[in-house]
Amino acid sequence: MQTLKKLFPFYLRLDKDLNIIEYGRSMGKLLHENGSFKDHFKFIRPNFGITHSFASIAEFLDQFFILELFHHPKKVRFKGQFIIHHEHEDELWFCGSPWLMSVEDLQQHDLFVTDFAQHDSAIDTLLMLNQNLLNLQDNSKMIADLKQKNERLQQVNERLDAIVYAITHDFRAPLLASIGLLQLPESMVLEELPEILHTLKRLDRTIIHLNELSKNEKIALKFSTINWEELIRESYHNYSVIYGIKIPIHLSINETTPFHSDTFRIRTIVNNLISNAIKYARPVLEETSFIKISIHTDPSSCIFTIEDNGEGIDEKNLENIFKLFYRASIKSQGNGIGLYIIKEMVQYLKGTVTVKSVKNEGTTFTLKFPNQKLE
Amino acid sequence: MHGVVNQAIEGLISQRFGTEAWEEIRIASQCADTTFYNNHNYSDTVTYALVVNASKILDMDIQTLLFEFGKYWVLTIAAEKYAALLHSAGKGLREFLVNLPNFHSRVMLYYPEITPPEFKVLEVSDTTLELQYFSKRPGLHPFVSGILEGLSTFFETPATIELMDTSMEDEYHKSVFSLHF
Repeated sequence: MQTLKKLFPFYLRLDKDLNIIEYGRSMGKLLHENGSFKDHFKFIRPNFGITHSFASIAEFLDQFFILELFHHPKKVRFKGQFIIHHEHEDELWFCGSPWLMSVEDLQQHDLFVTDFAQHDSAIDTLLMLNQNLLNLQDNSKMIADLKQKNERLQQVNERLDAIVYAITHDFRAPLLASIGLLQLPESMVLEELPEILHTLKRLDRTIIHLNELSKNEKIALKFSTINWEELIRESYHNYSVIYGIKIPIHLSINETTPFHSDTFRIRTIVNNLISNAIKYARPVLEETSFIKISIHTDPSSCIFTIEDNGEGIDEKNLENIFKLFYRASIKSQGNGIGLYIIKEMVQYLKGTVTVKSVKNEGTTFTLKFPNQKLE
Repeated sequence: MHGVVNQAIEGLISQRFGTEAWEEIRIASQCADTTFYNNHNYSDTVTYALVVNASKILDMDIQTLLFEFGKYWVLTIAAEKYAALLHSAGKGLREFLVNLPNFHSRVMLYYPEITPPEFKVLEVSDTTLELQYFSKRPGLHPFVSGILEGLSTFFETPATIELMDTSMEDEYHKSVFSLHF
């Protein structure tokens, strides 16, 4: 008898008149008085054809029971079976345990895992339900991850398509031109060498740009103090040599505090902007051409402005200039990557870039970067 | 190792040292996963690599880190995902620990492929428990110390936790903790 009681801590002992004569230690946490079985419990299953009588229950001894303790402040259901103890034939025993739908239900009924018998799989079911909730969380996370990766793949795919298109069209044309020129008679080849060199340099510039674009995705942000003066002077010198043009530069730096950002990306952005300002200068202006750069840094941000009086951009083209491989006209000297790189890198740095331009008057780019904290 | 353990490593590093530090550690550990799922099992090699690289990059000794990961696991990860479950196992820390061996055995029912540690709990006196921890994984006793410290806070049961002994028993790494309430 003691063994049975230990194995079923929610047991009930009923006499011939279905009075509760004893209940298990754990059942005692839910049922606080003896009384009549009928006053506390109702049959959920079986329900049809069963009454609150010894004889009626005895007819269903081969069935699984669901009972509901309806007088309890929060109704609780039990699953289990009725048996007639072989030593007490005038007694019915209910052996079972509460059926709860979540671990939180345990707390609601002030029950603990220890109130259940070790063998009782009800507690494992509860643990399983908890795990299922975590599985659902995992699934939602996986769906979100997949969605994000899919969007990223689509972007990469679109970019790859654009790059393949550019390689097949924009790379091939100058290459074929160079090949054609190199097949001319030797005396003519010499004459064409500067043109071939110019064409190949443009191709090289395009490859450098594509490499920068690829690095933007791969290289992690690394913050350090930006030395604007040194960076701009170096870039200006390099591009003046490359394009063989010397345009006066006016540099104004107002740094109330050091500016910290990612040197690789800031340098690439500055190089592209200065390169454009020199490349698109109007030869007719000669020494009246200018490039003005102003920088204002405070603890939270840095505003970088570069203004030139070069060719300028048609208003109708302005909204497209940051698109990959966009060129305002087929005569354009650029490869349509530089401004796209600027936009991508500024976004990566969580900054902004705006442009104002008037055709044949000049262009102004304004960039704003957050001033990062060094650890 | 179960995903929730790696979540604790990621969570603590990101919270205290920033997501960039976490990324640096993840990459140095050659861990390709950017998300650790609750119910997914990850190679122990990844978890150990994360701890070793975190120690190098953050310049903290491994034992301190493991202790902090254990504490964080209870107070953040378990408190969020298993709070009701932990409370269902006992009114306080002492009762919870007495049930701990059963809990870990039950876990194996729905994760047959995992290797959870085993525990033995001896009720030395009304105020003292001895908790024996057996694991096939080496070097994790500071992590268990951190978990016990976290549980003491979680159950609001002040306790002095002391590592009494570490040894090998067959293929198991054994650690003995004394908890004084």
